Amino acid sequence: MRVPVKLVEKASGQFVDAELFDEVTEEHLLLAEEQWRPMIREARRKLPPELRPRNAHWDWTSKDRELALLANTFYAIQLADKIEGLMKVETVGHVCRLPEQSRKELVYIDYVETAPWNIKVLMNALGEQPKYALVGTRLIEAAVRQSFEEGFKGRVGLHAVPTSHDFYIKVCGMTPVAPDPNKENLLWCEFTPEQAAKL
Amino acid sequence: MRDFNNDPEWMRRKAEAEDGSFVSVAGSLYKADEEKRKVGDATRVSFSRFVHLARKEKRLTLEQFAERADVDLFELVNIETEKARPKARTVYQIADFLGIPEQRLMALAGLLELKDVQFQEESVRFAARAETLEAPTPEEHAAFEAWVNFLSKA
Repeated sequence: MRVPVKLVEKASGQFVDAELFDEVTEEHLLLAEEQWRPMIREARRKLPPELRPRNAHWDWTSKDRELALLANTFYAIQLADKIEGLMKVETVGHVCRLPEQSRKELVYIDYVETAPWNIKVLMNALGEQPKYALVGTRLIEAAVRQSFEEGFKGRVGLHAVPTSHDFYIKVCGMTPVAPDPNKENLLWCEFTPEQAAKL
Repeated sequence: MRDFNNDPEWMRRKAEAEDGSFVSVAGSLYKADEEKRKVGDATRVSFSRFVHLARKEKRLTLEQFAERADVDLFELVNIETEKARPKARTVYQIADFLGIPEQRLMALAGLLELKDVQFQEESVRFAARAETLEAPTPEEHAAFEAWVNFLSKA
């Protein structure tokens, strides 16, 4: 699947055409690592400790297996030769936790990240402004879209890290269900079909 | 099939709301736990080396140090050889004996999590500088003094 999606260029406010696709290969993951990590490291170095985002890294050591699993779908957004965002979703083994849709199947967002040049805190640390907006929203749209295709009616769930709470609750409109004691008390967020339809 | 929303007003509104947000989630590929564990291990190594150097600075044998700090000799040996996580009481006794703030020594021993990035970085740096040699070198002495000063800060 390859579809054109519009992003917003922050500096000009203009719409730009990017491409969202699910034919992600190992080369795309490596390209993102290559394009993103040096900038993230540089920005972290310049941020005062109290503003540094939680230092996490993504374990791509078993990327061959991850890419091959049928229950996994990887999405990427690319603009020219740059990877603007990546997401991995799982369609098996996860269920809803909201009482009104308890135990119903959902699409689980296992990994999502946008390029550092699209993140305000990191770019401000480098004395610049973020480049494109809508990358995160487009990826969440893709997860909702897949949920409809799987017959899950738009139900999507994820564990949000603290710096992402506002995005999922305020921007996407997900329900913050509860901290998950099995996942470092990270906040479990969920879309109901009604919320997904409003995204 | 649900289409991607291309309504200009929706896109502008969402773009403004998104405003360069972080979007990270913590799924199976997220390794923050591992990283946290590594930091804890590193600070525990710092604690072992700190106790070892403190004893050398005071020119005390293991037995003498254990007696004066009122800690169990075998536990002291285990601490210095990084074989076991110390008991909280032992850390309190060592802190009292050395005149170091208890909370910071507890954090150094991996018994308390301090949300202090500088503390973690300094403790790892100390562990890296403090080689366990037979006699304290001038560098070790300097590292030890700097570390005591840092720990003693309120």
